Order: sequence, then structure tokens, then C-alpha cells
Amino acid sequence: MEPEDDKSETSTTISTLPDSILCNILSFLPTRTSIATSVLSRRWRHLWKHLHVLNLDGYSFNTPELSRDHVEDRFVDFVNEVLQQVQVRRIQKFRLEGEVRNYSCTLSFWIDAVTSGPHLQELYLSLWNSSGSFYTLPYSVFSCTSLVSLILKGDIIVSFDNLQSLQLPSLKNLDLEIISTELDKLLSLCPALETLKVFIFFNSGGIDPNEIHVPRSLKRLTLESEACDSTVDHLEIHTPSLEYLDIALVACYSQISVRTYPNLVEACLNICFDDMHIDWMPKLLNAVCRTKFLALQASTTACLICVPSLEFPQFFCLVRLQIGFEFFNSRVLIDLLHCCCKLEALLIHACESVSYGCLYGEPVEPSSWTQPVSVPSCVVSHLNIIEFRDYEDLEEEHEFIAYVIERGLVLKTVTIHTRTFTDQEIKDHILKKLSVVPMGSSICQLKLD
Amino acid sequence: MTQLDRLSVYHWLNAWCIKPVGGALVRQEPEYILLALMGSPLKKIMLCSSEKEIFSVEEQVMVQHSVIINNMIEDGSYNHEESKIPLDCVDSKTLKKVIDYCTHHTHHHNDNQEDLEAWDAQFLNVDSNGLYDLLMAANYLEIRNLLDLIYGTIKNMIKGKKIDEIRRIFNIKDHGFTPEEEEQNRKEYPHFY
Repeated sequence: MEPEDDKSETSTTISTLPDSILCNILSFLPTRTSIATSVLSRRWRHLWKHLHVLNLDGYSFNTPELSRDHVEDRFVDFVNEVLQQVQVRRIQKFRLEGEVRNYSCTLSFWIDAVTSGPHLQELYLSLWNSSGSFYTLPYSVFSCTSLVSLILKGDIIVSFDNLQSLQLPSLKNLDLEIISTELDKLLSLCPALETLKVFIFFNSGGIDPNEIHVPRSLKRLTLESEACDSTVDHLEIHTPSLEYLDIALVACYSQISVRTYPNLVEACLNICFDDMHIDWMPKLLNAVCRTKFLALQASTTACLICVPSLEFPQFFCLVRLQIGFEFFNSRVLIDLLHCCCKLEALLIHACESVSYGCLYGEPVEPSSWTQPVSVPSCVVSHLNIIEFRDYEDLEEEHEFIAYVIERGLVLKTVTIHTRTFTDQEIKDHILKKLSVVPMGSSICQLKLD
Repeated sequence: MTQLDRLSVYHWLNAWCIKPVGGALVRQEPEYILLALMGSPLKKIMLCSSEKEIFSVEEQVMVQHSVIINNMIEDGSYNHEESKIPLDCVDSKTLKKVIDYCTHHTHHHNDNQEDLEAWDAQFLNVDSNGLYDLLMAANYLEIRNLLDLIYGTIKNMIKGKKIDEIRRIFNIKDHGFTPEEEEQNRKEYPHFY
């Protein structure tokens, strides 16, 4: 950006833009900065008072000279002052982050004030409390009919005595990364929900829903739970419009109920099973069989390896497969490739660390390369990109790459990344070994780094 | 059938998820492919700048990005044979840039994030007049991603900077405060000065 030439009187200054646009610019700034712009010029003096968006950052009030309580007092005074000057009932987005030690009641008062307005669309709260107590969200949030997006992070509790007259009919986006919530009750208030992201802190012993029914309207679901302390009886994901699924779970649900998702575009599975739940694997694979992009993390792959009798569904639409291994296993990979007739891009991550070990069955024998009986059809007709990360130049890895290079008639690029080899001579040697393999595709490029 | 260049055909086929296999498409004549697939030629619409210059652009590109144009096409008020969409508050230079942005993002939406961001950064390498004109145009046409991009850039001109620097960047030569008021301002926001 060039600074303006002082001689050009006809140049546009930013102040010629209309109020609404200048206000929009301010809405992207922390509110404290927006208010400070009132000294830019006379034109900007009162602009911030027309803001419909508040970004309140309690952390920015921290100064080393002041005690924590003092800092909190200053922040509370600041927010009170702001809420007096802006038109609270016209607020569209309210975002607050900070540490809440002494001012929970005032906070509820502020939230009640903004949710009472008919225009509130987005509410974002990130509250942390180092003294160990939690903030309970006021009911006014759950009867805010205009709310479209609700994002809660930190030491917050959502609980309901009864659901009378509570509803969130406009809510499309819900993102929870909090201590505890009655998840099923909350979800029952949101019939129009499209995006759900839940990170459940099981370890804190907080969440105890016995059943979770995900709203039917859902298009995007991200569900992550850490190591399991409590059991959920039933997780139901009946969502015909689902386009994106990302689950990272330890199998601590007694029952999971899924359907085939016809509109699925992307699925990411990071799941660990134990003996009791191993029958879920075929259920989940079938549910995602129509996806275009599939990512299997190392934990999931470990389970696939443990069950040699597992039959993969046909992934008719799969165009890109990303697969992680704790230890590279070509058998499972070839079996999977046989089921992806349209696969174009294959990304292999050979030494991925596993989030949870596989709790099922016997420890796995180290695997070795066996020449497949038949060539997977996608290798011959569609596969054009292969990427191999953390290549260790093991025999099995080399044989697999050589096999695909030789039979891949439409391969364009094969990229191999190594981490353990830094010596250029070794890298050249690896590249040479692979370059002598007769290439099935005339335009194939082999790269190593 | 109208004259279509090879690139347009490729993009059109891409949009219908038909991928050329092994470079075969390059050797075909576009007209034959279209006959074979019995598709319709790329629909174009006409946009008219404030300087009365006409720009022809793919309908799909503008409909994907501009809420205003999308609404016009959907409610049927635009007649493909005759009409042009008059954009009296957007001059030719700005309109061309807006069309560039929308076209690139439609045709390259599968590119990786870094490439797209690099292109966006290059795209916004204009003087402040140009930036404000783009902002007004994007606001009028309701092009959400372009608006967010420009607002993001302008926000970075303010965030973390001192008052004098911001005034210089925004070419605010006369702030209009009396010396007493300016003194008061300094006291209220010492860290800003």
C-alpha cells in the first residue's frame, strides 16, 4: 500500500466512504481499538457508537502493574461504559473473551441485555476461570430466536431445569468446547442446526448425556471426545443432508446409530475400538461409502489391520484418500484400493502417531509385501497423484511404490517425503532405486525430498 | 454455436465434474466435445459500467459471487437476449477488477489455500483510491468473500498502529480538532499516540 501523495487534492480519503462502511471496518477490530479511532478525526468521533458488533477482550486489559482483580474491575467498567453508549438492542454480534473471577452476575446482566435485542445473530464466549469455579450460562441465551451462531469455550456450564419456552429456531452453527453440557437437551432446541462442533472433555467427568441425537438438518458434524470416563448409551446420527463428518472417538458409546449419507463430501475418521464395539467399523464404513474425500487416521487404520476379515464397502465416489499408518501395511491399503474405483489422489502417512492404541485383539504381526492377485482398477484408470510421507525405505514401502508406478497408466506425480534421511547421498540412492522401475505412465514425475 | 475457446470448454467441463483422462481432451476440438455431450454453450451476461462500457462475463461466475446479480437472474428480471445490467456506481477500471476476482475464484476454487491467498494479496496491491472503489463495488454487489478480504486488509492498517501513522495511511490531513480537544485526546488514549 503506497502512502498517499500529499499534493493530490482529488484523491479519495477513507473518510469519504459512507458511515455504514466505516462501521463495518470497525466491526473487524477489537472494540477497544474501535473506540480509540474516535480520535482520528471529527468524522470518526462518534462512529463507533453505531457499531453492531462488539469484540470485548478482557485479556487486553492485563498490565503487569495491576493486580488481577484490579484488571477485572477496569474491564467491567469498560464494558459497562460501552454498553451504555451503543444501542444494545441493535447488537448483531457479541464476542467476549477473558477470565471471569468476580463478575459472573454482571456478565449475565450483559448477556441478558444483548440477547433481549431482536437482532443478535452471533454469540461467542470464551471464559476461563483460574480459581476453579464455572460460569453457568443464563437462560436468555436459549430463548434468543434470532441467534444463528453460538460458540462457547472454556469453563462454562450449560444446564436446563426444564425446556419450557426455550428454543433456538434460527441456530445454524453450534461450537462447544466447554466443561459440561446437557448436550441432548441443547440439541433438541435447535431444529435447523447445520454445523455442529463438539469437543467433549470426558476426562473432567463433566458431560453425562445418556443419549445424543444429532438434529436431522445437520450438514457438518465434528465430534471429538477424549479418553472415556462415562458411558453414553446411544449416539444417533441420522442426518440425510450430511456433507462433512469428522469423528475422533474412543468407543465409549454403547450404541451408535448411523445411516448411509448420500450427500457426504468429506469424512475424517479417527476412531479406536475395543472388543465390544468392533462391529461398528463396518457400520461406519458403510455410512461414509459415498464420500468424495476420506481421511483415515492411524488409530482407525490400526483397527482395520486388526480385523483381516473386514469387508470394505465400495467407495463409488471416492476421489481422494488420505490414510495414516502407525506401521505401513500394504495389504490393507491394496484391499482398500480395490474398493475405490475412481480414486485420483492417494496420500499416505507412514509413521503417524496414534492418538489411542488399538484396544482390540492380538498385537499385530509386522507385515510384509505380497504381490496382489489382481491390480486395483483405480491404479490403472484414475490414480494420478500419490504422496508418501515419512518414507523409511522399508522393503514393503518400496515394493508398494514400485508396484503402483509400474501399473499406474495415468500417474502424473509421485512425491515422497522422508524425515529420517537427511544425507543427500541416501536420498539420491532411494530416488535411483525407484527411477529404474519401468513406468506405466509416460508423464509420471517422481520427486523426493 | 458461438465461438468458444478451449479454456472455457475445459472449465465448463470441470464444472460438470467431467475430468479429462490422460491429456486426451487437449487433442479434441471443443465443438466436437460439446456436440457429443449435448450441453449448452457457456451462458454470458452483460455488465455495464458507469462509463457505459460493456463487459461480458460468464453468468455462473457472477451468480456464484454477487448476491445482487444472483437475485436479478433468479427473479427473472434479467433477459439474456437483450439486457445488460447497469452498474452506475462502478467505473470500468473497478468493474474489470471485480470481474477478474470473481472469475479467478470460480475457476481456481479447487486450488490450495496458499496459492489463493498469494493471488489475493497480489490482487489487492493497488493504491488506496483503487481499494476504496473496490470496497464500494463489492459492497454494492454484495460479494461476501471480496468484502471480507478488503475489510481484513483495511483492518490491518489500523490494528497496532499509532494515530499519526493511521492518519497518514488514510490521508486524513485535517483532523478537525481544536488544540484543546487534541490535548484531551492524547490524555485519554496515551498508548495510541
